[in-house]
Amino acid sequence: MKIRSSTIFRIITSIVVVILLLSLYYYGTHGKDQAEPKAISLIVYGNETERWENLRRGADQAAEAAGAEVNLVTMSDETDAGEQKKLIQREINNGADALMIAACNSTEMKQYIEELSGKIPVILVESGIGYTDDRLCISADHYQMGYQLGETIIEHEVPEVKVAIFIDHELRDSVAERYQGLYDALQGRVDSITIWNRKDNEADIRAMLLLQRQLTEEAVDVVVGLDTASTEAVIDAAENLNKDVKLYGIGNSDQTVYYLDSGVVEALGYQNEFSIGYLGVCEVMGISHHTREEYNNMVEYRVVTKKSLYETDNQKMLFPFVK
Amino acid sequence: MRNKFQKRSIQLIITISFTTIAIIAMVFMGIVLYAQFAQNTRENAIESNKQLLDQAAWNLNTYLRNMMTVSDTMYYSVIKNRDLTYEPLDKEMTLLYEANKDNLISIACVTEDGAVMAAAPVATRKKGIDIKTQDWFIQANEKIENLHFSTPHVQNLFDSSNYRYFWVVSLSRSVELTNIGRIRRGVLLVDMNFSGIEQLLSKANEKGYGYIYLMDRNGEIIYHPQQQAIYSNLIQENNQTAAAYEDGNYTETFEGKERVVIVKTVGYTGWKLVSVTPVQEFTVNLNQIRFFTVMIATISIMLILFGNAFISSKVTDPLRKLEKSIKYLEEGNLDTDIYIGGTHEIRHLGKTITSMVRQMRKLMDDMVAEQQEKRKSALDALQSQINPHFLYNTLDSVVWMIESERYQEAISMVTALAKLFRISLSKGKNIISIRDEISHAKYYLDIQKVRYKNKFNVRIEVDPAIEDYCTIKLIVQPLLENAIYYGVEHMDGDGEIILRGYEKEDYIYIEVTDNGMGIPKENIEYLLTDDTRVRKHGSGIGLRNIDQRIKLYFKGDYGLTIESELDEGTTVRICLPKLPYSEAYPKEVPHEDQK
Repeated sequence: MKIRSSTIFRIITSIVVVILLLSLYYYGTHGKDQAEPKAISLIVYGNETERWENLRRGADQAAEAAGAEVNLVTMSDETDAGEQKKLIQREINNGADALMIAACNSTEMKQYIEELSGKIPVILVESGIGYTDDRLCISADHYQMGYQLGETIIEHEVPEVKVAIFIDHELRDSVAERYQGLYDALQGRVDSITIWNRKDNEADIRAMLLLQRQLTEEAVDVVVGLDTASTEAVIDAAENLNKDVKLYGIGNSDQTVYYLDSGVVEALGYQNEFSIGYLGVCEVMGISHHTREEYNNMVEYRVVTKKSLYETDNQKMLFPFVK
Repeated sequence: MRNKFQKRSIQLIITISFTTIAIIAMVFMGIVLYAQFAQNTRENAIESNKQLLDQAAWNLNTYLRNMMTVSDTMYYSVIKNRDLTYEPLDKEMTLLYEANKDNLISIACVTEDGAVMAAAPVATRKKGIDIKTQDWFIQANEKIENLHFSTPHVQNLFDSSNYRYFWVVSLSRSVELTNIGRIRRGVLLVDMNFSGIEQLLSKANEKGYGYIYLMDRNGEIIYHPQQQAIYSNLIQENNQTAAAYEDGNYTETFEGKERVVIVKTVGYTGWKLVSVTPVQEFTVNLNQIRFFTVMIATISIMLILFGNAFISSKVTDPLRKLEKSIKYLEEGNLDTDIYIGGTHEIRHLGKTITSMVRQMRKLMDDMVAEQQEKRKSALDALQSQINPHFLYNTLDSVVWMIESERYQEAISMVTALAKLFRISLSKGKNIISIRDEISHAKYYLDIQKVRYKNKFNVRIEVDPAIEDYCTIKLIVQPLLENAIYYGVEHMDGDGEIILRGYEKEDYIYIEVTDNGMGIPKENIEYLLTDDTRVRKHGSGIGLRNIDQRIKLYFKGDYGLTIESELDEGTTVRICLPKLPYSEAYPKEVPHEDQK
């Protein structure tokens, strides 16, 4: 049967019209406006959500603009890598589209996170998994922060001081790097540097109690904490013992800032965790890409004293707006 | 192939032209409507934002006025005119604080030395701070008559046991404090909870396009929905440029993006509310409209294309069928059925062509019949000239004359006969001159006069002027023959035959008149219509034949007419057209219509 060209034309036209109508219907019911937001899981160490408030707020603000939602997941522990892996897997099973992880243990989490990176977008925030991949970790320059804290100690104290550095969670990159910076700043410029850390059988003992014991056993002039939990523990221990020691630390929780303001802490180093959260979401959503070095420059850190606490720039960073 | 192209081109022309017009119209309408919609959307969005901004400004003004009222109340109703040594402020201050604590962090009255006289809520002053160095204190003392609004800052005045800190906007004023009759200067501080302002503006940012932010007169941001990100240098805002704007609408380009900015100054403070709407936000919402517009237009164009093709096909198909049937006609098939169908006009065309073909067929048939009739008539006429009766009678006469040694008469007769036959043949021509026809008649009469021994007289009265006109041959002689045989044959010398030829108006008349018995009226009709009557005498060419041939050749109003009176005589009149005779004329004379 010979098919006339006009019949072919009519068939083609009808098909095209039907396709267009279906496209119209599909776009109307499944348009861009109805797209579900991306789910980003922010899995952090520690069990206090308030400690991560700034980072979460930064992540939320970036996520809102990027059409994503951030879910903050805390651990019950500071260092249990096994628990953190389970939480990560749970989030993946629950449909997370991307992960932002503050690694509780850089060594134990390294391989696991490297394997994850091929399956789901993963960004490390605040603390990384080593130096192998510069792109993955977003944080301030921990080494420089530690170094500057050391410089502040040198500036405020006499050279004969005995300095004790409390290293808890040294298996985290952030702590290790800060320690290295601090040590490099202090070495040869103070009387002595003592390292206080947990022994293997002291894993379950509260840091504050360890420190109280150390403060009792050893006479030092300056005690330094290298992260928020450590600094808080140092403060609690000194206050409890009413010890006359100068306290320095890194970490900007409400407590640490309060004690800085009240003169208990001499100087406090902190990084802009709002920026970390914001940049982390931008990175994991593919909005922006930078190297670790670039992020180190973009995430600001400061070392403030009681005197400089209420300077305008320090206020804005240390006291985020509370909604 | 060519016909196929031409057919296609008609259909194609209709389809393309209608579709082009439809596309142009739809595209034009689509563009105009979309542009109008986009413009309206933009204007509505700007107007909506303006209203939001006005509302936010009004709310903020109300909020600030409330705080100012608190400060005024505290000062004018409580502090002023009171000796504070005897009447402390605490109770009223606490009452006023409690009444407004949703919006306040604290109220404090500070001496010029920086000592806190009273405060609500009751709190311990922080150790080691120097109130006199704080901005609100300095500003209040610099501008004694004014109320001073600070930019938001963290309150650095009182101890907070639960690690809390408060962002506040300090409203400070210089006051007169009376102690034991002595008046000293002090500062009344009302610390407004910044979260009140933040909530107010956050609500405004939930609606409309873009966002609203607040800055002081120097361009320093007081509130911005992305304040922390700006402080962290993660994003930028064009606040310093906006600080220079007066109240009104502006369009600016910032970081490569166009945006609409509306500025409104907030009352007493000199702060500015700025509404920023990226133009992209209008267009994002328009994307869906644009998509739908394009889709609807595309579908409509497809449907129009389809419809046009269908309609043009419906219009041109009958034309094609009509053309096809005309093609058969062109090939000579006059019997073909012409297609009648389609629209009224095409049906009319078909019917007209069918009628035309029918007429053509009839005309052709008539022409064929006419030619056949002419041939038959001419043949009849010619045949009559070779009538054996006339020939052998004439030859008899010639023999008789020769036997009677009347040689001259015999020569005359033979000569006349020869001339008679020569003109009869006329080289095959049917049209000859009247001169020749009359000569033919004369030769005939010469022969008949000898034969009939002068039984009749002949008078020939032909106007020489008509001799050069055309006539059909062999039309006069038969009339003379009839006049002799039916008119004067038995009249014994009294018979008279007159042959006249003359012109009158535009006609040529040739009459043959005899004074014979005449013809009964009832017979006259038959003479021109009935050719079945057997002739007793003569050459056999009937009057009908003559009349027919004249009418066949000349058409029109020509032919024979017969007038007869019994016992009086008969006149047969030939009417011919005035056509000059020339050898150059074709053998056939043109029709009446072709003259």
